[in-house]
Amino acid sequence: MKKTTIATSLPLLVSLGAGALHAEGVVNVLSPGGSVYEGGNAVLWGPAGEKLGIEVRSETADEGLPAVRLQVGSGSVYSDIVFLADYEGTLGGMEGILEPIDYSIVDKSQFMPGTATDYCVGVYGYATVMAWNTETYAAKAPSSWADFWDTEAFPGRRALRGNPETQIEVALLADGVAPEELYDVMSTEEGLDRALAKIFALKDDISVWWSSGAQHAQLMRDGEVDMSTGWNGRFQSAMDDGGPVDFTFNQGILATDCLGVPKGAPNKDLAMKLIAEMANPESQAKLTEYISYGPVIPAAFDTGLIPDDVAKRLPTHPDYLNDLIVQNIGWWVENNDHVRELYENMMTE
Amino acid sequence: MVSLPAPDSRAPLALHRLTGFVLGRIGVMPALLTVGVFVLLPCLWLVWLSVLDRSGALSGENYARLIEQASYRRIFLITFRVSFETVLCCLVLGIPFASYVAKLPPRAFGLVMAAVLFPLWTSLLVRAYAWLVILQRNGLLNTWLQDWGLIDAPLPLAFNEFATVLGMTHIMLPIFLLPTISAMRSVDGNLLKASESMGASGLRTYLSVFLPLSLSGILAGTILVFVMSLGFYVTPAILGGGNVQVISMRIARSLSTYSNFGASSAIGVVLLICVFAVLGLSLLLRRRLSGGKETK
Amino acid sequence: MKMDTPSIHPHPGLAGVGKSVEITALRKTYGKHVVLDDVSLTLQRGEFLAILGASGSGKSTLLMALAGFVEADSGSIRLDGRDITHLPANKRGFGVMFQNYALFPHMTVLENILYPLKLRRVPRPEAVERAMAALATVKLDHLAARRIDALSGGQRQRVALARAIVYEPEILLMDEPLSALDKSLREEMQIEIRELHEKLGITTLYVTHDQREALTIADRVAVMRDGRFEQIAPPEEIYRRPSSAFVAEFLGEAILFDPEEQAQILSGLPAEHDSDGPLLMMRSEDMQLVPWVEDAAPVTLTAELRDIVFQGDSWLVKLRLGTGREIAIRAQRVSSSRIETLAPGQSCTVYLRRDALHYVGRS
Repeated sequence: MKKTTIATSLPLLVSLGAGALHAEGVVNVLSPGGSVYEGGNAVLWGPAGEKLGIEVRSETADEGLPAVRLQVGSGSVYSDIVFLADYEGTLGGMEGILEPIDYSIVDKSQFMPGTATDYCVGVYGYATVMAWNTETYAAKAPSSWADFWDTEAFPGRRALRGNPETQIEVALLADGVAPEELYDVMSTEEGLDRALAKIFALKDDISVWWSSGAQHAQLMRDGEVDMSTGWNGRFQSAMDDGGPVDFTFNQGILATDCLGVPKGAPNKDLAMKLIAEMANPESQAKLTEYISYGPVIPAAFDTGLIPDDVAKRLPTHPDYLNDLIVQNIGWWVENNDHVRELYENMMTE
Repeated sequence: MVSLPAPDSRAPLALHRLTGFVLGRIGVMPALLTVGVFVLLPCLWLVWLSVLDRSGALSGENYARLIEQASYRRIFLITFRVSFETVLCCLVLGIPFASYVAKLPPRAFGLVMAAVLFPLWTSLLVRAYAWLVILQRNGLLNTWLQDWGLIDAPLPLAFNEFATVLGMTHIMLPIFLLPTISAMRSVDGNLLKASESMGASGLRTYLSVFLPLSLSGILAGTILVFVMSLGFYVTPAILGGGNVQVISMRIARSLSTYSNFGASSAIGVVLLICVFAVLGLSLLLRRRLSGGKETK
Repeated sequence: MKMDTPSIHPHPGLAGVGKSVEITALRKTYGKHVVLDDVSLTLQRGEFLAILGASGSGKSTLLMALAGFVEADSGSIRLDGRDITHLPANKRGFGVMFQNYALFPHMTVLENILYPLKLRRVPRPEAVERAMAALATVKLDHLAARRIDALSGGQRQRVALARAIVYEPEILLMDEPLSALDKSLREEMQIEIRELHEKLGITTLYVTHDQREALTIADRVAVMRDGRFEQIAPPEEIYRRPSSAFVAEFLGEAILFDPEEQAQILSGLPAEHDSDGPLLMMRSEDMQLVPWVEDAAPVTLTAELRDIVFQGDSWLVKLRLGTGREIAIRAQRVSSSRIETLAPGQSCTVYLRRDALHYVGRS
């Protein structure tokens, strides 16, 4: 295309020139849309791109990892940064469809331990917690997973997840396993048996095995069950709706959503730079205005940007940090299928 | 005027037959093609996927797992049990109802049929949640029963097999009723009169004449409900509350979370075989019903 | 016919063992439509009565009321003096044969016939013996194991008959049982039913729209019209001496003249009626193109020949009368030499059989 006429090349030149004025390059971001996109655009990649002179284009997809699989599998990668669940981040790394994060650029030290992994950099954290009906347990509220299992002190109907993920951890914590030994115990067959036996022992009191966040929130709000495991954000909205619900971050299991870079991303280097730029306390603090999940850079709470009442609702608030257990997602990626079989056996028994 | 065909009129006749033959063959081609592309190929593809392991190599591991894992056996068992119970409920509720409706005069019949068919236009999801509103611990039914002082503590009505079967029966009943009512309506009223004229009571006539002659429709309805129930997803998922694990839920779970097509496909293939077995059995049964009395 | 076949009736050959039926002022309306208009009828013990009528005349409703399937608005039905007006169908013990036979398609021939016996708790060996005897009566004992759908129309009709008589009902009701059969089979069955009736003596009510069938089969024929009986009489009487023009025309080819036309066209009859008087009726086969034997003063008319059609047993001769009206007569006796001389347009003399002339009321 060397013989371009003036007429056709002029607009091209103009657009190139216009781009060159403030863009060093282009980065495509794939997000789930909604409040995540809105917040990301406003406080994460929006300001970061502006600062670095990178033009950020945004697209949406419901599920991150399948999109990456498709792009990498078909050999036409066009997304540079993809929003993933931490589980997907680790699995994608194992599958070899994600670029390792360049931690020479990204400052890993400011992150909570376990929230910036080899292939995915955490954006926010959410916790699997215990919620209870404030009317049923008006006299004394349960405070630990041991209480969840104590049907004599706290009689009532329970709901557990129909999926072992986080429930195995919770059962072992209730059985007295120390948080730091949790994944060591889970890595033995005896440990798994112990967890499943613990849940099986509670089975008569489990009236529902929940399968979605909306469901467990509704179960608690309607008083269908008296105690449930579930995600803090969902219980928070059940409380905000005026439901007789309360929950504790004590012994909550923290998981994160994170940013990864697909293998062979066209603007891989710029993507790393952009991720590094986004990884700062202020951005994470400001994101809480958009989504009620917790910053995974603890310093965000020191910025003064998060109002106190909001901060108290976030699972990564310093007050709860010692009570929370950061989930070992790598363990789940490796053991998921096996544990799931055992869990379904137990459920259908 | 009738005359013998002239010799040269045979050629067009033969040609006509030939074109008829060819057109006949071409005529069924689109249908065959459609069935092939939209039914047969996906089934074959399903079978193919089911014999691949995760790395894409040929393997029987997906089937081995179905045999080794007790949970699969139980899930199949539960699915069949729930389907069977749904069929039973449809029979118990549907046969008396259909018998009554089939005898209605045309106007009333039309009205009742519209009422029967109406639920088919409402969403499964909505109906499942409606049952939840009625059955849950603080739902309508428990609240009423408590208000009337019939019970002290709420009954566990939702999130169990009872709720699942109830919800499925609600959805399946119209589907059971359609062939049943149609068969019952085609029973010759004179046969019933004949039976009574010979001295049979109404009940005897119903049992000895009306029901046996409606059997083909009842059987069709039964098979339809059973086979469709085997693949139910939404209702057991919502009303079962995780306490009723059925095959389709297991398939969906393996697919959505793990992209494990092989494992899901193997379950699908086994389910498909089960469905074919049920259909084959019913065909056999029907043949026995219609032709078994010849030799005696 | 096998003579050692066990009889299905305790009193074989004894006519009149059936009960009598007395229908009094039976009325049935559907909305404003009167289906049975105060119908009264008495059947003697063992009598065979055919009800003849067009569709919608109420004949089937009457049969169904008798069977117990139609509840009459008023009136009564008595069986040997006992009031059975409100007795349910299954308590009446009548034999009923339906137009489409109403055989149970899910049972074999034998099972169909055993059905009423089972209802009466007849022990199985005896029931089978009686069922086989009934089948033998209708000459179908070799088809006992057949399924109903493997039978021909005539065979089905016989099975239905066997089933209706196997439990020895006192009354047999038949609703156009032969209407689905072809002509020759129908005529054969008419005779068989007639013979069976003579043998069993069951009081029988037989509904049909076929006048020939009614005349062939019954002791008495009742012609029904608009929910009432026009005339009830033995076959020959009702054919030869109908009480009304309707009955006359319903039962056969009738030619009717009003007094005015009679005076104008017929010669040899005294014109004694006023113009509003009864109609003169004669059957088309009672008119000939040659004089009737031993008729010294023949009744004749002169007409113009329109057409002459050979129909095997007779000729159909189409004539135009002096009044311009066209009639058709059925001539048995026309010598072939005479036929050759006849040509359309020609004038000819028609001879009327004097004893066949009959006056009927207008209707």
